[in-house]
Amino acid sequence: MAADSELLLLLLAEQLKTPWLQVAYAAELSRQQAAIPTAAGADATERLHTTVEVVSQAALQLIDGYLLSAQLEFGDTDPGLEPVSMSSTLYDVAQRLDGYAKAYDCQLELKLQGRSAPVMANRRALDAALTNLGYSFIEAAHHTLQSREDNRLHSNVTLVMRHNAQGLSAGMFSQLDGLSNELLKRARVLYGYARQPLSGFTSGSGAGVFVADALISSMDSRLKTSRYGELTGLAATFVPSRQLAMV
Amino acid sequence: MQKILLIEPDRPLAQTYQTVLENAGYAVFWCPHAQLAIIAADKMKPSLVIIELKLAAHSGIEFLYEFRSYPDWVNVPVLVLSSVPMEESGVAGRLTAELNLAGYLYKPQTSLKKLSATVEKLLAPKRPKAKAGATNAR
Repeated sequence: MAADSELLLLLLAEQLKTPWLQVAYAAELSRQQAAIPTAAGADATERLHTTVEVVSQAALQLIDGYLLSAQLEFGDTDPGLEPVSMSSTLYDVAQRLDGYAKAYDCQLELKLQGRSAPVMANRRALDAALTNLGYSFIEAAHHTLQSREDNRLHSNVTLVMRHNAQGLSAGMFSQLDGLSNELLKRARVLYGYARQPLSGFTSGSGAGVFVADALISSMDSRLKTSRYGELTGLAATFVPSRQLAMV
Repeated sequence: MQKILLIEPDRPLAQTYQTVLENAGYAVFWCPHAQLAIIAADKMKPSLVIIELKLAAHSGIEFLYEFRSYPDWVNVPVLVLSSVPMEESGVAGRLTAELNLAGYLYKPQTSLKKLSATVEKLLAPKRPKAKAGATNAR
């Protein structure tokens, strides 16, 4: 049986077709517009350049997240957990997702509830997990908005940090259809074998969710479906750093 | 103006296709979801449908079966533009004929120029076929 990272690589390759297409199309369209310059053409080219910038960033984060998850799986990188500030990680992630969210007409919100004590996590893995989860949620929220034909102009993704009985939970939430523990459980079995293991959630391969899942697992936590008011999402709980909490 | 119904889940990609096809003189209506595409088709009466088979929730093949079940849409040309290679898509062979597909383009091998050329060919006015045995009057 193939290692998880090998199966994840298949999803990754599938997912990366789209940003590479954007890059190729941008080059082709720019060349066409340069040959026959028009004002409308210049606007389209400018929009395309912005899109290429944000989708390339997303693709890089996905590759980097995958690489880190594979290194953690094979023990090349020390998965040592250290005290990490969840609130500042979520703040950084929100900033990173901002351009991508704009490209998908998505409004990002950051909700930090309660005092943020440091949690035991691998700083890089936590950052990469939440970032890739965020990219997936922005795409999924956009699909859900379009499918409902409601009057909202923007989709919404909310990054949430809150306390629970086990520790501090962080995750992404939105008005999504079809996201459930059953879907996630089935997807974990199907991934690497099905082209769209999370087909109710995204039209892509869902590589971002699985990269996040692998990274979170490497930190002795688990990605689970969760609710935040009316919103559905995926979140993981991390144990507070006892050492720093005592100080 | 000829109308194209574009069913593409990825917004940035859809915007690119829309720009290119509108520059070529077509009216393009974008629909990211199969569920809404039937309603959209009913409203806009497309001359051509371009569809990605990998959609969220419903597959493009489900859409195509439903689309073809309406007598008005039996002959509307459908061009598949997908990131899934044809041989892995489930529409190869018998299904291509069953679903009356006008063409299949694999995205990684399709430039914008090739897409425009294919659409132009599919929407070009059909010339009446010369009758068998007809001779040039000149």
